[in-house]
Amino acid sequence: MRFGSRRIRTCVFALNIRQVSNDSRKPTGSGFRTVFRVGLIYSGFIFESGLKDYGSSGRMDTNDSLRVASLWHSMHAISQQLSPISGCFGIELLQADTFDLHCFQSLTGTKFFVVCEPGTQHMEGLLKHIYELYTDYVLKNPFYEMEMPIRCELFDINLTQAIQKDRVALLAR
Amino acid sequence: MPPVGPRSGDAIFANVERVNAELFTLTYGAIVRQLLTDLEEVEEVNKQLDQMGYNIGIRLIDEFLAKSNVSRCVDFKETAEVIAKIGFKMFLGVTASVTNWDADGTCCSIVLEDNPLVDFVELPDTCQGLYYCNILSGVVRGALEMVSMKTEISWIRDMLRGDDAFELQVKLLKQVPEEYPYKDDE
Amino acid sequence: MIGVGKIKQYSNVLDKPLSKGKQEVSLSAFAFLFSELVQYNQTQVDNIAELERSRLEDAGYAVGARVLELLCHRDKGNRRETRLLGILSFVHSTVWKVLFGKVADSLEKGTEHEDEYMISEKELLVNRFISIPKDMGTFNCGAFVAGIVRGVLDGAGFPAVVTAHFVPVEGQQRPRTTILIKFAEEVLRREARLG
Repeated sequence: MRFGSRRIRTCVFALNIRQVSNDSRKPTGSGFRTVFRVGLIYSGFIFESGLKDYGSSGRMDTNDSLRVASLWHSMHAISQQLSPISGCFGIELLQADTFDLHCFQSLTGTKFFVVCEPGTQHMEGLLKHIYELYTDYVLKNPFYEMEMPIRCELFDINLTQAIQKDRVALLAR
Repeated sequence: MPPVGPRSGDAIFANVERVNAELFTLTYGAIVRQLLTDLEEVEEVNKQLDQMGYNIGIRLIDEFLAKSNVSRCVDFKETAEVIAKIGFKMFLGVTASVTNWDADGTCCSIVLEDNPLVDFVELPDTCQGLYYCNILSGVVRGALEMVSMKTEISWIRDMLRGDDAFELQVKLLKQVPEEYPYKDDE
Repeated sequence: MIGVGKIKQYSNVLDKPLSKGKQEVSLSAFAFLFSELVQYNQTQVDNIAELERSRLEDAGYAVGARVLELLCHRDKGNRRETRLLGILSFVHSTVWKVLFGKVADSLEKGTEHEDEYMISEKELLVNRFISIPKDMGTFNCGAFVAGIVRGVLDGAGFPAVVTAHFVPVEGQQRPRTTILIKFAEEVLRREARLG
């Protein structure tokens, strides 16, 4: 972020993470149950993650991600204007009929979001945990340049672990 | 989730992973030595240390926010207290205090009671103009800039220069409100 | 509260009592500083080999030379090791414990060369948060630690070439780091003489 800059560069990244679990209530042919997408919009800048895509359904390509990120960024800002009382810091949850989108925004303006099945619990905890992973494995990595796409193996490894179901349940405690 | 209040600097420091301060001190010493060799001019070294601190500050702020649960500060006074009481403690394990406020509450001093950067250090005659701890001022400046506060930071007292404490003056230049995106660009 | 600060002033750094080395800072503070050390040095080189071999290793060397003096004085009553295995074990245990909070995972003798020894660590402290970009090949920030080891050995009269390498471990996602120590010929000749 260039301090005081008026430019908004559009940007996002999304990770499509499909979670595989055996005890899902909604069996599907391919064996996976919950689709998470985790992304972070950093003051309008995008990160692309090196995480693999786990299939074609439910995936977003880069353009989709960009579109979502810029739209979200705008909606977030508009919500602050829309609020009938002052002190609104943006949208935390968007509920659609087929998914929930949770957003966590740090005080530095970094936004993290996760797209999940409607009603999935403990997403705030997950996002907070991802924020901590970001401060460890992205911000402390000398080879990560601010504002550039995230390509940090350790971040990906830890993110994948975090999104595993047990982990999410653990975070809820 | 129920709102979680900010944690004390001591509590955070007790819970984070820590390393021997000597590794930190000697590594910092190695950096200063490299800069003196590379840049030759003490004044340039001061600038570079400040820049390196700034680079750290713009990254470190997120860790600070993530681990401290600090919420938005109501004013600059609260911000300064948070930096001194929580920030310095949680990263360096040292206590700092805030003093010397000016009348309009935009300028104050952060006084360090201890400073792990300077163990083993004495400035040689050739480096008398060196602000050895200049990285710290850069860190504070960079961190505050990421939460929309533009500051100017200078050393008032420096024990390596014979003073009785380390005192950083923090002056708030302007607070940039968050921008509504559609007023941008056009 | 004015004047009750903990710091005392000494006119000369040598008058100040040597600290016991128990003070700590957060790992994060070190990690951010180390990251910045690497970033700064990247701006000072033309290629990765130079970054690894001359810049990071040199920075580490400066630390190692001082660590040797500090520890010999504080922990060993102004004595230092004079034999090869003694100094290696000093590095692997004493130095590692003080700097990284633990003894190194292993110390081994090279099987192919008489003059080679290896100190290995599953996860080197300096590499904890660092992912090496693919285009940097085998680059390892452990070069800084290799420099520390070289600084200690050199100061103690055991000149050596010391390098850091990633070594894949079976069943592990992440490689371990091995610090390879190749002693100078004179060191081995001296050892042979001492018997």
